[in-house]
Amino acid sequence: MSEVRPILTLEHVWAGYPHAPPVLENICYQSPLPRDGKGHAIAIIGPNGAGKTTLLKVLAALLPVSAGAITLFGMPLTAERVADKVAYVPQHHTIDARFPTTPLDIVLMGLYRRIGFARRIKDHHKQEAMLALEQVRMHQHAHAPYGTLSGGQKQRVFIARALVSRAQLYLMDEPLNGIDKEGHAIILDSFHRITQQGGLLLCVHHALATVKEHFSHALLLNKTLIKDGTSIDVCQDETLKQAYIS
Amino acid sequence: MIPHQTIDALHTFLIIDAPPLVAASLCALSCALVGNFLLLQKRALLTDAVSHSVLPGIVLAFLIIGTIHPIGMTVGAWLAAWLTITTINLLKRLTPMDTHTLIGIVLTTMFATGVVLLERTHLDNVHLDIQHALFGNLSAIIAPDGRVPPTILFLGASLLCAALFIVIVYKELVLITFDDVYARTIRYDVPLLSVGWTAVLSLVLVAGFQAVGAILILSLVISPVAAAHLYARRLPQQIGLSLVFALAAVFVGYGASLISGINSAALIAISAGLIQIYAMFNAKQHSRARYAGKPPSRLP
Repeated sequence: MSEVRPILTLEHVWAGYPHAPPVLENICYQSPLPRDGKGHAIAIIGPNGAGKTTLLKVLAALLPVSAGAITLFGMPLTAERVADKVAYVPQHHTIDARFPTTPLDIVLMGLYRRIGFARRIKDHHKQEAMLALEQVRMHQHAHAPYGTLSGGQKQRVFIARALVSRAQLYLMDEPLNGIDKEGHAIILDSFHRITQQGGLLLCVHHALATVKEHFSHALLLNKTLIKDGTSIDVCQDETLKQAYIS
Repeated sequence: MIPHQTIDALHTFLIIDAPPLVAASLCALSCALVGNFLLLQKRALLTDAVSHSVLPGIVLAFLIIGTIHPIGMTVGAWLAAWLTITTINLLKRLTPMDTHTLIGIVLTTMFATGVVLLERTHLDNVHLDIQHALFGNLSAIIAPDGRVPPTILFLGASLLCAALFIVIVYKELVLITFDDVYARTIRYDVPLLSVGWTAVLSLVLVAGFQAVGAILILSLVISPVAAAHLYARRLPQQIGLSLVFALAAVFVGYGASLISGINSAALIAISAGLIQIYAMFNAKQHSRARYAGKPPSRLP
């Protein structure tokens, strides 16, 4: 029988932006072991400037580690491994809303790695992208101009792009921020889909009141790791007070 | 039987009027092609940087080959343009400064280096025509012996290179333009793409700069694309429309120049500007009529 390993481990990781002091200090973390082939949805919480987005960028190989080591499926985290196994969903407002494109075109980008460099997009790729749009209930808007979508709809399109890539580690930066009730339910459904398929979801989340409701585990950060564990354990008043007041 | 006067007029048109029109059209098409990506990357002013930075390249080429040979000058200008864009890209990665600041710094430094080189090498007596640098020399592109002028061949080659490059790596170019962060996470920001794009861009801008000058090339990179951007829902639509607008600007401007005798490059630039202004007002009404009363979430 094969040994069950954590998908992600961080050992004494220091990281930050170039020409600036480190944002993340000595982070040691191990993701919870998959149970019955199912993954986990983990909220990354912490005050502003705690390094939540920085942590996602480090895991997406967008920022270098200045010290320590990160492993993904027991192997060192490299840009090549990230490209194959990780899907990063940034905040949608970092993208130019006036770009002449459609949700279908954006979701197809999630297949580019599999399609290959300088290779053509084929009909079956479009069908696959449409299926992903259907999963986030955006298929009716597949050909709408990107700029006419609401914030929540844009977020769902980027989640569909991540889903179609068939990654194993999903990194999402505040996907539920400013989303209406319907969008909330659809995005949470996609979280469920990811964990059911054995994926690990790390998601920056601001609304402390809903952490226990939406995520099985949490990771409390304030430059260094304050606490990690089940969301019930992490979201205790005393622990939160320690992170937010300090 | 065709009258002699008609044959003479046609002959004059083919020798004197048609070559500048073809040159301006080829230049407009290639500028609009690359302009689509430059504008969406918010780097259209790179065109300005390149048009100023070719000076040291031209002077160095003269110093190396010792004569004002068009091929030598062109290679010098192309290398200087390539160096300018690469330097801006490199500084953007290595420093926290924004692209426009970097364009300003590199543009002025390169141009000043060109001026210093001119003075120190005592080449300042070489005739540098400011008017031609600004507005090009379209009217000098003629075919007296019936052969295709070298400028047209160069512009045609640059258009072909740009079109081929864009067709081959279209999806990759769109990805790095739309979401360069995602492109990096899936390892699509490969050096080959960046080097190839810089080479094509430099080629198009240098070919255009030599033919139509600094003002018109900036206008042809920005105006048709900015006008098309207001109407298009998808990038292929925007590219197609920008090519149509670019050709329209050339034909209207050149026609006006034939009638009035005013500098054709300047009139083409004005036509391109007028098309953009018209699109700004027309596209607003167009989009209001299309989306009137509908909230964004219910759009088709």
